[in-house]
Amino acid sequence: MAAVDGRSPVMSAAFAPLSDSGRADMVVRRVAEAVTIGLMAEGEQLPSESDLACQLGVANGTVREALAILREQGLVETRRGRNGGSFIRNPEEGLTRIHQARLRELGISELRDLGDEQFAVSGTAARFAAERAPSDLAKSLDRLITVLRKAESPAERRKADARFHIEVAVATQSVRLTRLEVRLQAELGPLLWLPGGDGPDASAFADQHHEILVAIMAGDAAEARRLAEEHTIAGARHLVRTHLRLTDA
Amino acid sequence: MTSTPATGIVRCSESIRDAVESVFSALAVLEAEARERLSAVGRKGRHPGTSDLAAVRPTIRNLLHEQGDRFNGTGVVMAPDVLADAAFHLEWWQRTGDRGSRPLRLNLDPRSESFYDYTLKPWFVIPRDEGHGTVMGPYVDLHCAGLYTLTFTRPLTVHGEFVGVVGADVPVASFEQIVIPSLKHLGGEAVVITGEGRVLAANTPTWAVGEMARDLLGPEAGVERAAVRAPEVGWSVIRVESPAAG
Repeated sequence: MAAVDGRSPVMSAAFAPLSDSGRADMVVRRVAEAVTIGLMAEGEQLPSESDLACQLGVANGTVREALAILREQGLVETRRGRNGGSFIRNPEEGLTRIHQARLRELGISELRDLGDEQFAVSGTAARFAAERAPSDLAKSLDRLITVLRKAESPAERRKADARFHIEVAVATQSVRLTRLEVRLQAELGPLLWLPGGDGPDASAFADQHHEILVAIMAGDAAEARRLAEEHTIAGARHLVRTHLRLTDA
Repeated sequence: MTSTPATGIVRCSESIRDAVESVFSALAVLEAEARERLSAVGRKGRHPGTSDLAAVRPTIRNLLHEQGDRFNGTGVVMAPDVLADAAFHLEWWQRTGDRGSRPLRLNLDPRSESFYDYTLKPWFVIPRDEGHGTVMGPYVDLHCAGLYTLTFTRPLTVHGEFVGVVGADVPVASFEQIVIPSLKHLGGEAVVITGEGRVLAANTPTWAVGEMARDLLGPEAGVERAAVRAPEVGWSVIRVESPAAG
């Protein structure tokens, strides 16, 4: 196996650059994630600069820098005065262009890689959920499937899709799997649920969610995994198809 | 299994009960303080508000300090419209890495789509409707620190009337440190399951924490079993057949 600079590839992976080099970027990403998966809604006020710094464990200056980036991206609006503060703005329009551009720029190999990660995480989550889910899980998953079917905008579909997968991950009782699923949904969701006919067939996705739900509630771990894996393949293929079409234009 | 459980397993269940009760008795201080603050305002003929409840903060900070890693967060969660100036309100603080604490902020605006309606959560519903404490979990708490948690709550009453709950989030990792030694001491293969049949702790890798062991719920399951006699939990200690022996 070829070693780079006398180090094995595994070693290089272990010494990959630490992600806290861009702390402000990480704060931006966290806020964007919270909005993407619907944990924060339009018009909602962000905690104060110092509270946010304290919660995230970063310096006030880092938060200030992050807020400036978020304002520039149109995700946050800062108002002065007595009822002032930073508020979440309806980011859909601005973000659509960013996500379309991102899907165009990502290579097919990178999309496959993203799909691979989703395959590992969602498949495993479905498997453990089948073994560990509480009996009332069906109720909340059913509701999210109905929301996905009836959703009228790509943003609503994206949130219902993300919440379904995150609820499944929570049911695994694994904090790590849940964190991975939240990250993946925040990254993949906006690329998948693009507006203007670029999104997948919501009712087919809802049907697949329903099949996964049935397998989980039946406690059939192997079947839940298989169905969840197939579902991620459908998503990954859709991304590649959309990428190919966008790069045609 | 009809025989009286042996002393060993009963003793084990008693030590787990003591671990549960020690969390609730730590909360008694906060409960007394919150009740006193709220009823003192009432005696002056005033309706209590958020600032009156804020007076319990030193007690919360003390509690977090005293309990160390055992408590990730603790506080008071109010029933709707009890406070004059907030329909929904909580005074809940979480530990931070540097021995400090910070308030937990949830979206309590009912008009918002991400409204966190705590009045639907079992840790609020059970103390309100059944009038006793409860332990929820283990579960992955997405709204707080993304932690694997047990949530302990008990009702807060003023003049016999339910006004909210006092509670604490206890990381499973720290709670199991109290439970595992007595399970080990018991010997053989033993599991603690919750009322819904979920494995809370085990002295064997055969049973994964968090998995559903519904087979163990039946009164005949296991070689030997003893209920954890605390009114707040439906937990049991069960000695199981060792797979190596079977």
